[in-house]
Amino acid sequence: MNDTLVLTVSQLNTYVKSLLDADSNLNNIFLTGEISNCTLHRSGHIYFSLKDSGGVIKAVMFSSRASRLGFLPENGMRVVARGRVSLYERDGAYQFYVDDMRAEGAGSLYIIFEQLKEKLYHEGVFSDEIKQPIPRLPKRIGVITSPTGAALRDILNILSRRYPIGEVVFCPVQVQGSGAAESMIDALKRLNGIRGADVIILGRGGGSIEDLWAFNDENLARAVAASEIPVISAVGHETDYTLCDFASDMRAPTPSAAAELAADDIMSLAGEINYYKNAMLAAVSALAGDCRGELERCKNCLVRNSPAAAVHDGMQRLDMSLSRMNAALNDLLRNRRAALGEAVARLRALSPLDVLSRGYSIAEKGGRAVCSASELREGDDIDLKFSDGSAVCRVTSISR
Amino acid sequence: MAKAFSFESGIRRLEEITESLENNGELTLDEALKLYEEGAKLAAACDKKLRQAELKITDISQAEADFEKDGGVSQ
Repeated sequence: MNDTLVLTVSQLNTYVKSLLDADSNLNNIFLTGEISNCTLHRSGHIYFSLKDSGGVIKAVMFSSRASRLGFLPENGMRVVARGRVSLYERDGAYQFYVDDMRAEGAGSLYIIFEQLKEKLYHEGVFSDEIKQPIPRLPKRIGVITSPTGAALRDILNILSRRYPIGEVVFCPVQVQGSGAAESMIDALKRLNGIRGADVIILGRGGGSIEDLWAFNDENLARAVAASEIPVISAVGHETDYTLCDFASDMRAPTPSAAAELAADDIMSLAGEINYYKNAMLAAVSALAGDCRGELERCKNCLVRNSPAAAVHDGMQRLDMSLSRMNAALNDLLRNRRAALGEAVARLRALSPLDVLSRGYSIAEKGGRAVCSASELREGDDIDLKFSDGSAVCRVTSISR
Repeated sequence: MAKAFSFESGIRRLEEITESLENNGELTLDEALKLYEEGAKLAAACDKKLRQAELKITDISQAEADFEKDGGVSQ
């Protein structure tokens, strides 16, 4: 036993640590397991255990690494961790020093999704206040999607049919796999850089949660929210929600639906133009009708105030005066005629000629009536006047 | 390149014209007829655009090149 080497605990731990550190197999390994006993220390370091059905190992992720982690580790989460195995001399515990870690499986993805959503929500990335309205009649529609996917075909089909007056500015991008989010962020920046569209459709067709995962990239979500051009997200199917959907200005359930939301339908536009045509015509016709009515009123007014009436009036008065004058004249004539008749009758009654017709006759000598026998001499020629003629007679004798 | 007729500004002006024809009581018949004539032409142009349009597809690289060529002025 004397020559037996006696080690201190520290010596042993240092020795074992050196063995572990020297083993290149343990320097950079991927380890899969489920997180348990997870403690997020104030310092930013994360302490936890990784376990599977057969065993457990302590693990630590220092703050310099943990700060770059895209999610917060939680108990029960299955992860794949990359790191090295070494020994913590103070506790004599061998443990796994994690450099990077990815969540594994849908359950974990869901947890990550929820965590990121919470984080971005608090950052204001989803805020209603930064949402922009979608223009109704975009000149250019930016489409960010895969050049080979069904989404592009669907979008182009629908826009060709419904909104052929527009222009599509297409940004071919990678929509899944590593680098997908960066590729889409770049496309958003390029479109914004040249103000190359009035609205952007960002999306892809359906797929598994892993396929759609790039749309849950937090930087992509921030880029969507920051885009000065309004963004319509269209990721997967109706039931798929991604962070881009929350960050976008409008979420469409599918790429086809996004194409319908991005612009009006020309059928309804044609209807609208027709409406304007009719409304304009009606308004102008109404105005013309008003003007015509006004014109009629003016004409009537003119007629009412025309001197023609006064002229007619004058003519009428003149006519009346004339007839009164005529009547008066006729009366006068009638009166005079009657008076004349009377005078004639009276005259006639007094006339000697009337007496003659009763058998009397007038003796005239030298054109003067003989009123006395003494005016006559024997041998005088006298005219005897009868009512219907006269006779010359000679006086043969005179008696008194 | 002559500035193409913009459907959007066309239909916006059409809306404006209709609005003033319907609600501007101060318009004289001459002014109204002039507006109507403008509106009728616009409506015809919009109709024509709708009938003849074909979706144009431009690649982002082309759009960027055009943007550079136009001296950084977006269309």
